[in-house]
Amino acid sequence: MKHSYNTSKKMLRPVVCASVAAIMGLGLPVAAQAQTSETTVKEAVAGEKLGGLVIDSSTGQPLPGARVSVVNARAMAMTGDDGRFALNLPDNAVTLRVEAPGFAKILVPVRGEKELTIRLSMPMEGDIYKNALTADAHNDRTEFAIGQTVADNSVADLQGDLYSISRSGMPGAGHVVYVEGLHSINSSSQPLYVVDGVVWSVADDNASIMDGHFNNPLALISPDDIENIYVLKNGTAIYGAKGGNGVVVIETKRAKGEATEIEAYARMGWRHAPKSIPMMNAAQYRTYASDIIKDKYDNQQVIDRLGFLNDDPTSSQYYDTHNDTNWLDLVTRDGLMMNYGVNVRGGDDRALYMFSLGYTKNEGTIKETSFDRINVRFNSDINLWRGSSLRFDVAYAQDNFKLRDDGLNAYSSPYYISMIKSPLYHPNVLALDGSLTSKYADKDELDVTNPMNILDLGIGEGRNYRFNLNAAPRYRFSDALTVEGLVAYTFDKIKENSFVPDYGVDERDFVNENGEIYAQSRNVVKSLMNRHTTFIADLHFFYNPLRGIEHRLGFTGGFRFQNDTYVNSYGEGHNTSSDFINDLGNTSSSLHFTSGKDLEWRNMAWYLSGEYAFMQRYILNFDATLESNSRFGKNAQGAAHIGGVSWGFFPSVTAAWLMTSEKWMSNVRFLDLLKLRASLDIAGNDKIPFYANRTYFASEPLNNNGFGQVIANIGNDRLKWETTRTWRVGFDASLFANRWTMAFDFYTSKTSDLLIQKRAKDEVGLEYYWSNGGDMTNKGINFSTTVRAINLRDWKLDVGANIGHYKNKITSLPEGQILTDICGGQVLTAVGNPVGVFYGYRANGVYSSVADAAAANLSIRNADGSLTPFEAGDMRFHDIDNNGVIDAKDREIIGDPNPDIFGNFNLRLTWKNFTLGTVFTYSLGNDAYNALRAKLEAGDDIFNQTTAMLNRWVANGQVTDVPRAVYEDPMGNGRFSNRWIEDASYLKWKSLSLDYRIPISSPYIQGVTLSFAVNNLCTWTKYLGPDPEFAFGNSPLYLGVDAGMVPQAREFNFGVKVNL
Amino acid sequence: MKTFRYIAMMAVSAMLAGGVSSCEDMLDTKSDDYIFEDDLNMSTANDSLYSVMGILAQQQRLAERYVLFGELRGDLVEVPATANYSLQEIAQFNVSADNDYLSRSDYYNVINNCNYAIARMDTSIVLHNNKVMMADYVGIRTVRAWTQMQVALNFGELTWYTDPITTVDGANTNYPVLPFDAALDRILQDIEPYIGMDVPDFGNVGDWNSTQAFVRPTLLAADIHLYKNNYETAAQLYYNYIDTYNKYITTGYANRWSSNTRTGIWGNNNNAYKNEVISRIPFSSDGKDYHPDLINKTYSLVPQMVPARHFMKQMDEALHYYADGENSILITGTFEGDLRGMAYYADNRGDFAGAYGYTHVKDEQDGILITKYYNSGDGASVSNPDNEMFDWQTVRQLRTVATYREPSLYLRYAEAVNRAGKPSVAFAVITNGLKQKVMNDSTIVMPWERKGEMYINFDNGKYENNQGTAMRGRGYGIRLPKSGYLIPEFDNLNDSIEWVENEILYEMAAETCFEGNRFFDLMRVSHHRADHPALMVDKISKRFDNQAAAAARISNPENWWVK
Repeated sequence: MKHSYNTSKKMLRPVVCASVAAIMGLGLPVAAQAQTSETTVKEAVAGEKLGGLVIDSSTGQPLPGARVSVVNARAMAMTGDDGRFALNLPDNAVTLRVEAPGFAKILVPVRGEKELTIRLSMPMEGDIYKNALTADAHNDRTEFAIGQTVADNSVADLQGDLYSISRSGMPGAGHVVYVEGLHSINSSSQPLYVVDGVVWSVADDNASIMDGHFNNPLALISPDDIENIYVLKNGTAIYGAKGGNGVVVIETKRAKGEATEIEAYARMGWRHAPKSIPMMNAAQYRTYASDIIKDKYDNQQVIDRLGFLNDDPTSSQYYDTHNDTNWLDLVTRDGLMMNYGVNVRGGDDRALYMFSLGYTKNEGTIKETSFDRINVRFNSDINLWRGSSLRFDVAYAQDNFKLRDDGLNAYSSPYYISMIKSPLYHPNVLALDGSLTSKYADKDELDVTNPMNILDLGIGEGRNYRFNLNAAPRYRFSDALTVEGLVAYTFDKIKENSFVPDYGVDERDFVNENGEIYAQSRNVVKSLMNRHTTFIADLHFFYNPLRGIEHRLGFTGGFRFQNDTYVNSYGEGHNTSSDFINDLGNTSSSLHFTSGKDLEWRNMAWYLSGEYAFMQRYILNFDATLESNSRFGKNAQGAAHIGGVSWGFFPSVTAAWLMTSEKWMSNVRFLDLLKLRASLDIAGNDKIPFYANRTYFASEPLNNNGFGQVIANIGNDRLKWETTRTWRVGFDASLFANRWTMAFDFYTSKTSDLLIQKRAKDEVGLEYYWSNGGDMTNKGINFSTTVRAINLRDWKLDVGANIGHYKNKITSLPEGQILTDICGGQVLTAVGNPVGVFYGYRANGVYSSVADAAAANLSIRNADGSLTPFEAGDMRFHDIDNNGVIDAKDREIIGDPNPDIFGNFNLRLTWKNFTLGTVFTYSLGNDAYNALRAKLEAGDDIFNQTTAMLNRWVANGQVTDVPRAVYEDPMGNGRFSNRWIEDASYLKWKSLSLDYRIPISSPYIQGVTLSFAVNNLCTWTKYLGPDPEFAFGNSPLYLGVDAGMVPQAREFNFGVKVNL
Repeated sequence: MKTFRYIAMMAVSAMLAGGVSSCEDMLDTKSDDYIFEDDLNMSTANDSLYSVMGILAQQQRLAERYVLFGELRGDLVEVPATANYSLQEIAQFNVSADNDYLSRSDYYNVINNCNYAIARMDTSIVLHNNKVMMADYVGIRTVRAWTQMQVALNFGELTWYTDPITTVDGANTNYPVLPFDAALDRILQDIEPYIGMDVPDFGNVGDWNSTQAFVRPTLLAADIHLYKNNYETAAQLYYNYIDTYNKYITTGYANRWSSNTRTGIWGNNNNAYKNEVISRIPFSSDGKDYHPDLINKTYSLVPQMVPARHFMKQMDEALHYYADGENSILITGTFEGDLRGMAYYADNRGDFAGAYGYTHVKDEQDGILITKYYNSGDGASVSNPDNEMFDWQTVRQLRTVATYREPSLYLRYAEAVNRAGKPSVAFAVITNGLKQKVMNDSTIVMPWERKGEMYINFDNGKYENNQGTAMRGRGYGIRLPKSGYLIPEFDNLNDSIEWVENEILYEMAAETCFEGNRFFDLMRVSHHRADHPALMVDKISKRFDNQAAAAARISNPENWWVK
């Protein structure tokens, strides 16, 4: 009778879904069966007899030993050697469950037939039977162990159900994830992660001191510990004001039974440094540099001293300045990857446990970068006494990052510097005769950093520790009523420190508001520490008054309380006396910058959910949460005001109809399962800026030694959560003897009360205060399907595809459009458009001649109001308002970073003991702002440029699309325009893997599997950057901005897995 | 089993009950980063100190605009065509909607922080018989009144609210907007009860005495009374201030030749902007902290503001008389030029820059630039790659913007007593200095002007060293009757008064040019006359190429404001 509890799983979801499933469904089989004796009295009345044959679909042979049972009843039969079974059906029987070891569990409707032929197959991706009898709809991914490599792709495997974008090729960089579109402008739009039923609380502003690095919570979970991961499609209301951005549920492995299972694995591989944008070589660069140099240095003496312009081999600088260095080759390497672990499961009737230990090391393709992780997890299900039990889980993980700055940082990002640095210089100090020394060269004569020193003397370390303890005691009062408490405690600590050396690195100026340089940084030390503690207490009941075939009714309800404390401290210092002294204490006292945060936030909620199923085919589910939160205003609009605080109400309703259980469907033979679903979810987003609901004072320095307090925020006591209402209709279907399964959802959602900065009147003295206003909609579909194309005894081929689509649109913005500057570009958020579309100038070629430019008669306006005309060799920008001046009013929407469709498709071919799996991912119709190219083709400085600059305009009459190169680009030819907007659609061959299971039959060894996998095999795209998949920030405003991050690398892996 | 169930039930009920009973406490979060409104009580002097300091820190942002708005709309500076377009617009009295200087937010930020402190401070707290909070309270009221006056002067209107805006409802309330004259009346009404009361003294904050951070209520009230043509009240208030705080015009800031050969100069007037100060907005010495950008805006190859040509012409045409020291009784030389502007050495060694002067950078520039801020700037460890003037000279940072100086006080006093019917007393402020000897000298101060008013009593010996402002600025000779710098004979008193008033206006320019006072000075003096605004229109339009068009534009008071 496990299944009676399985079906109630939906209701346990708020905090404990995984554990409950484990305890009820798996952990206490003996107890569970003993408990159900009373419920089956009625069912014992014998009804009709049903006979049938169970066959193996791949061979067509009868399958002995298959178990056929009636759902929610005691009737059960096993097939004999001839594959036949005979069953006395209870008179109201609706559904049969059919299962056999090694085959996918299926449900078969009883529609009055006397004789059934049931075909069982090997499991496929996407088990749609798992939730068929409940209102749940989610596409579980359990099979991704195929092709599993060292890299963490667990979220990316859900591509299609969600939109996931790999941030960069830096090890452990993680993904940006959007579920069902974009839901916020100024607040977080990342989904809620729920791990083993416990909300994973992430502080909103976990900024790193390393450019391009982002806090990645999923890097703290080993993919080898994940049993199941899915996107929760309806019922997100149970998470109240946290579920508005979607919910991703992760369940870690638990013991399945008392038998001891031991799995050990070892994988090793390497990653291969990817190619980048083609840059000019030494000869090409010399020509370019001589164009630009005369404007950079207005002093001829300085130019005369430049070594690279002096071709006299007897000159002392000759060898230092006449090379053709490939800097990219010098900073990159092939990185080593390894991954070891062991997983032990087992137990006895008192306790079941799962213990896992893993170690991963993953070197980046940039030298000196790596990621390693040690993870330990202990999950136990303890049977205490007389119906009381305890789930007790402890997990600890420790990530170590070695990083360097990434992205467009000309001082300290080795990858970017390797592109902009002139190939003429040599990485090492050369002796006068040109012979090599072992010492790395200082910055070059053009003041460009030598990236080798960043790698050699620089430091970039990040440590992330997480300790998590969940204890959930439960007591069963009766079959119908169980009470469970949950206490979860998580301690998360991030410690980062970095050092950028003096030697070899250009100085950075500190510039004050007046443009004056008040100090220079020679070297810099940074240190950061975050401590985040989450405490969750939850008490709830499960009440299942009706558990029969005709009526099933269950409720879950309770109260939860969550307290988060977050302490952050950051210190930055400059100019230690030596590059070998790199602690904050030895930095210059006048250049100390420190900051800290001490934050606390809390929420509490009452929740109730219920599910009623009639005849196992009409299912109605509701969830409701009443939540209050310290980040809501005391007088939040649309909230209930009870006990002096505001309560938001978040309901959801789902109706499902298992159409294939209808008798009149019995003629539709090809259809094994069809479930229609419709739901309405209302969920919120509580990531309101800290203390925005309260008026507070901040301190302000006065004249060296004074400090004062000034009003820093006008508290908005009406501030509320962002609300997302989602209507969703969809179906799950299985066809042709379960050889073709699919799940489809169409959703349309409206997010209202968007968090916005409301401009304050001058009288307030502050620019803005936080408020709610504005709406956006998302419409889209998720579709996933798997087909078993070949189903033979030895040959099996599964073909799968996922398609995701969303259309985001702002429908109202009370404060008008919002322009945001990002990496030198602007994105626009305005009514009628998606969040953050590219907003810039439209360029249309280059004025080839003086006459051309004169005919166009366009100018720019200088700060003093005078005009400077565009000349031959300048870009031809579109003058929208036809006033002859190219200014901010001539900007228009020049691109949309949102894809039309995205997803993956995959193939899985098995032959005997071999399995070949491959995954392709794609994204179509998304534009990108190639900020890297905007830098590398700006032609405004002596930095090395891409080979596209060889076509730059140099002579009157020359027809080209690349403008002249002028130092500092006074005419703004490199301004944010459609020159830098590209179609970033791509098709990526994400992985290819081959597994071989060695046929061993030994009492000691259950199995040995060898595997070989390649990731990121190749990418088909028109995008000119090194990788069309990148993410520079967690906000939708950063979508499609390519800030020159390290591209993803091709990875090769060998692995062995031993099951004992 | 039963017992266990009972206990479990009780535990469940207890926890559920806890969930409703104390919601507010359960969600009450704290932070060490911020002070929340409920936590900021102003019940000790220490609390109010932090408020005062915070307000002064915000006030720093107003200093640059104090100078720019006060001078650009006056008659002493011009904005070159190469300067920022927004500044050009303000100087042209033709402000467009995309001007960078339209926001009043920084002003109201100061006002609102003052409102908060004023509403929350408990001035009744007594410690050792002292109302310990009173001085801080008056100080904050003073800052608020000064800031409100700046809003009125710059934007021509003032939103009047005294309840602090700390809520969204407050932020969306529509408060009454007072036009210029009504605003001044309201400010006066607000500040009058505090006349004569003192402002806080925390000792030095940075390098300057903290009392200088406040323009005391007496002076604010006096200025408004003067604008309102309440001459005797104004004169009495200025006098009270002079007498209470012992403010003198001394020879310490004299500009004079070291001999009548004009080969050497004592240029002490260059220190006056920095040191001869009653009130100031001070700034940190740390290069990273906020500073007004006035040095870069004036002392640059691309200046945003240069001395007006007709002003320099006026200064050049003024005579100075060389006398051999302050006790000399003989003029030994008469030369052209006011030494407070720029002085030419007789031996062709070039010029000496007072408030302005020639600059010589890389032989590229020989225009005349304002040097007052540069002269008053402190050497700083900053560099400015964008300002080529600093290639060969040390970069300097301005650490003080004066908001009230002794010469302004004396000259406004003169303006008041002159209009009170005492032109010869007023003229003595410029020429001989106010002291017993001068007041009793019937060749200088007409006896019929002395009717025993309190406010012209300078008999106290402490005034003995008082000097005329022009006397010290124009070579020590001007006090000597034979210098020719005398009030001409007029048929009626009013002509004398207007003549003296014009001289006061000139003297205000010579002493305090480029300091941010000019627009208010012109407007106030013009307001004394029946044909207001003819005087200010006439003065200001002089710097325009098309003077008639400019005069037409400025004649409409609606065009005076930055809005």
